[in-house]
Amino acid sequence: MEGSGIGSTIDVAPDLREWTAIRQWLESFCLASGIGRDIRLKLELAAEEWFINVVTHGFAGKADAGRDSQDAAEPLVRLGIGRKRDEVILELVDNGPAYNPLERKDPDITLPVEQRPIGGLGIYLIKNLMDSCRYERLDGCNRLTLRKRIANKSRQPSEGGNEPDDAGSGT
Amino acid sequence: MMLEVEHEGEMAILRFAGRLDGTTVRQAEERFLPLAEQGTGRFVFDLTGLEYISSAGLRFMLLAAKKTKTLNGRVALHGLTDNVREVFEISGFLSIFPVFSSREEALAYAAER
Repeated sequence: MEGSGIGSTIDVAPDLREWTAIRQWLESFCLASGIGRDIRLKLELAAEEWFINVVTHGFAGKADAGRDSQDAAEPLVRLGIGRKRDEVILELVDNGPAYNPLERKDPDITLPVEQRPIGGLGIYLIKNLMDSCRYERLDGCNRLTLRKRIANKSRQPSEGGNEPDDAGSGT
Repeated sequence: MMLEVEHEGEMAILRFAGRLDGTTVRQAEERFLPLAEQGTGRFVFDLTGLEYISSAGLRFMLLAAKKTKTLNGRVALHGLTDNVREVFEISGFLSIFPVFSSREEALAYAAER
């Protein structure tokens, strides 16, 4: 994650029980970086959808992958987050099988309830809640880079003075 | 997540609070499914205290909509917070669920024959 503006990373096991740790990590980063609740909830949602996909499909519930077999690489599930001015970058990396979630076909959200399939909304939500999503397969890892702009009313150069208390804190 | 169930006549009111996500959704299913199996088809979901919903939570919502449909029942929602409303909107769920701004309207709709 060199030079990408990532300020904090966390490595977790491919196990759904790690979700609490991820959420707490995201929350503390947001608090420390002056990122408000609305953006935080969207970042949490993107992270959860990705994480559940990676655990249930990428590693297919194999929390112990790599322990029995000598060939299998140690599973890697890594989240990175950073803030660059008015943008948050969330970088999601795993070394599961190559898979580009962004190529997944969008669900038909106009179907009536009887015909709506259960599931298939996670990636669609990520695409709609983030401002940009990019996928790369790099060094044997899937890497999803998500960007979300932060509306920062206090940073209008034309408006001198009277900034709110939480204006662009500590950057 | 917190989930309280209240009964009013043959209607069940489920009050959600906190987060309906991949780690808590099973609690919701465990409360809802027995009610549906006993034939309760009329539900009000009070989402006033629900801060967050992910696709796992939506999966539950859709399951509830499908179940009540097969029971010839109804499910009405009220109290959607901004974040939850946005997720519903993106997913097209605002056209699946009748959403009301007050508890009274939701109750009246769910009770309607």
